[in-house]
Amino acid sequence: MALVEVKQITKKFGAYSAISNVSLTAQDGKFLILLGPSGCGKTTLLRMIAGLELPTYGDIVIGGKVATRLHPKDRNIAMVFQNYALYPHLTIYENVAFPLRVRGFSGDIDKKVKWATSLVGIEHLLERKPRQMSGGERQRTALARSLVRDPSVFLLDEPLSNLDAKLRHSAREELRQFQERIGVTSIYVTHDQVEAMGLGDRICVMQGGVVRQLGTPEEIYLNPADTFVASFIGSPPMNLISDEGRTIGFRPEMFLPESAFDPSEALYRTEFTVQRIEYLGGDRILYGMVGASLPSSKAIARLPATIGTLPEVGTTAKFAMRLSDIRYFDGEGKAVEQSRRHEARLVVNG
Amino acid sequence: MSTTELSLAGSQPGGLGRYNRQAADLHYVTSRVMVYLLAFTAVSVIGFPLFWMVICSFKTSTELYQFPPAFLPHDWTLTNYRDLFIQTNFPIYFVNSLVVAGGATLLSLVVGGLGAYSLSRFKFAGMRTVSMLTLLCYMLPEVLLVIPLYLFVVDLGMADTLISLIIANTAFTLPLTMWFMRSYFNAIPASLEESAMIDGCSRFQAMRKVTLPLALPGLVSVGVFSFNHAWNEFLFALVFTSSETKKVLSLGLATWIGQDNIYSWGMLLAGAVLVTIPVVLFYLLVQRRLVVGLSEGGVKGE
Ligand SMILES: Nc1ncnc2c1ncn2[C@@H]1O[C@H](COP(=O)(O)OP(=O)(O)O)[C@@H](O)[C@H]1O
Ligand SMILES: [Mg+2]
Repeated sequence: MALVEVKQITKKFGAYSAISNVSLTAQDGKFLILLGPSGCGKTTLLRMIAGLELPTYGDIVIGGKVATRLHPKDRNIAMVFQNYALYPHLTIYENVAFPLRVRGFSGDIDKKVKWATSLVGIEHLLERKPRQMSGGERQRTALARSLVRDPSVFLLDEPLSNLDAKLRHSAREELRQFQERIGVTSIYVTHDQVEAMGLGDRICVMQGGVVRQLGTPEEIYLNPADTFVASFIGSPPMNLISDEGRTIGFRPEMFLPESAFDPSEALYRTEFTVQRIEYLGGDRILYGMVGASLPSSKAIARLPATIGTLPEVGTTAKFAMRLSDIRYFDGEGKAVEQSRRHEARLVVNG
Repeated sequence: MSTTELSLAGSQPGGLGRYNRQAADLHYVTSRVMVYLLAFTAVSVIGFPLFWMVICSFKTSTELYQFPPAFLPHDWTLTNYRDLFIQTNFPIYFVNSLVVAGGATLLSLVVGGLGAYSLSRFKFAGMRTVSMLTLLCYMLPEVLLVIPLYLFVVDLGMADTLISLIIANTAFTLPLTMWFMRSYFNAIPASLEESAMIDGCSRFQAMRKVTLPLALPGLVSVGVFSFNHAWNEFLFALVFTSSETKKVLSLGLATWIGQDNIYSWGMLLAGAVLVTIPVVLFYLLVQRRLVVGLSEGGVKGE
């Protein structure tokens, strides 16, 4: 177990900066998620922590030791690759035993392999070759191989992206329980915000090679640091409405018919013209236009099944949200402190 | 609706479905016949000369010149083989050929394999130029190279040595080895080696334990090619070597074919049989690896 610190890392491929001045810390024994759209540099950052790429500027510190120029084998990290990178010519047993054998492990290799494979539930498949395994089994093999030698840091690059949706869900649960049990510092890369919210102790939202926000899933969901995070997290994403050089944001699930609120609450009231309704399991997603006090613009509302009466398509209904659920962003898209003044002004307008 | 009834009619309830490969299936039978005819033609065209060579090497010299020729020898004899070893330098030629072909194969696998590996895995200045140049070298015919190479060989004091033949043969097969192995290495995902390095290997260990076993079928094919080429090579041998103790098989046997007469057909045929045997043995030895490697699709990462 170890603390991983990324200190002012920049990575350039030629003139192109894949990572620009990123600093972050993965806390000891915790699960850190690197979340961002495809191409934002998550894999590159992970590969630098693993020692597969040399950062152009900055340092990687693992367990208090500067590891920037250390060979991957000397970092005591384990990594699960996106394609699992199982050795096709070796059996599952030999795949899992591989890290022990090359490190000249002196103890009982057989016992270790049995332990690691039974931990992920593939102990009955040891004689198979990787190509005779399903996607889920390969993923477990990769996990078993990476934890067989008690690494101090665990790196995972989109390990669930090759699984089908149902398996992905159960694998996510298992992975989380598993990490809690072995309590090893883990850095997990994903572009799937649902996965990130479900797994992480902390999430680092990245975009274009920079860190946009670092925080718990709750913080990131409730108080996005900028409009990018606001629109990347949540499904559907936060409604963002530009108004006089600033942006107002509110979550679709907080934007409900006025009748759903207690009249004594501090509400911001507006009108919502419904254009389309989508049925999504229990919830209904309403697409339409807000108007009245706000500049007329597109918005989405997500109504839980508990709200019985839906406005009809084409009609304009009275909608509202709690003042405390409204977020404000400045002209550059950065979040600004919620101030009483703004709220007051909105209330007067409303 | 009618088709389902039709197909169900032939099957017993609860049993297997309709058998789809009935002998009465005319299409099936004709296609089988065609396949066997084709295979028979191919085998006889390729196989008969080989068969005839083997058969004739066991005939006495009178029987060899007999007309019309008998299909099978009347008296099987090993005289041709015995004479080959007693009267000629065949054993020396044979060992020389093994040394040259084995040496050239080993050298071209090591140099070509390592070169191909670095071309495939690392980026360096002039990489494109290097790989294009190697391909260009392969385009040059042997006849064009042999005289300049001979001058070098003489200058280096390597005239009439087996080493010179090993080097020349390697030089000739190296470009192909490099190009073939480079595409082979390219098909092996780099993430396998990276994973091995994280698992605790040095770069070299990762290559030896992961990439090399996966590249084995490729190395085998290239090895067979190099061996075959060096084994059959004639021009370099003719120009570079002259003394009797340095002759390889291709050169040695050719000198038996005189201007207007053949020294002994029987011995020549026996020699030809023995020349063929190592090549066939080599093929048999590696053939399983070759087939297994190709069908396993071992290079696929997933
Ligand atoms: N070896 C490389 N050479 C050049 N550009 C690269 C290399 N690796 C990654 N990149 C670029 O860096 C950016 C970030 O890549 P990556 O870290 O793989 O993104 P992610 O994993 O977030 O999808 C991409 O635009 C990619 O094209
Ligand atoms: Mg990636």
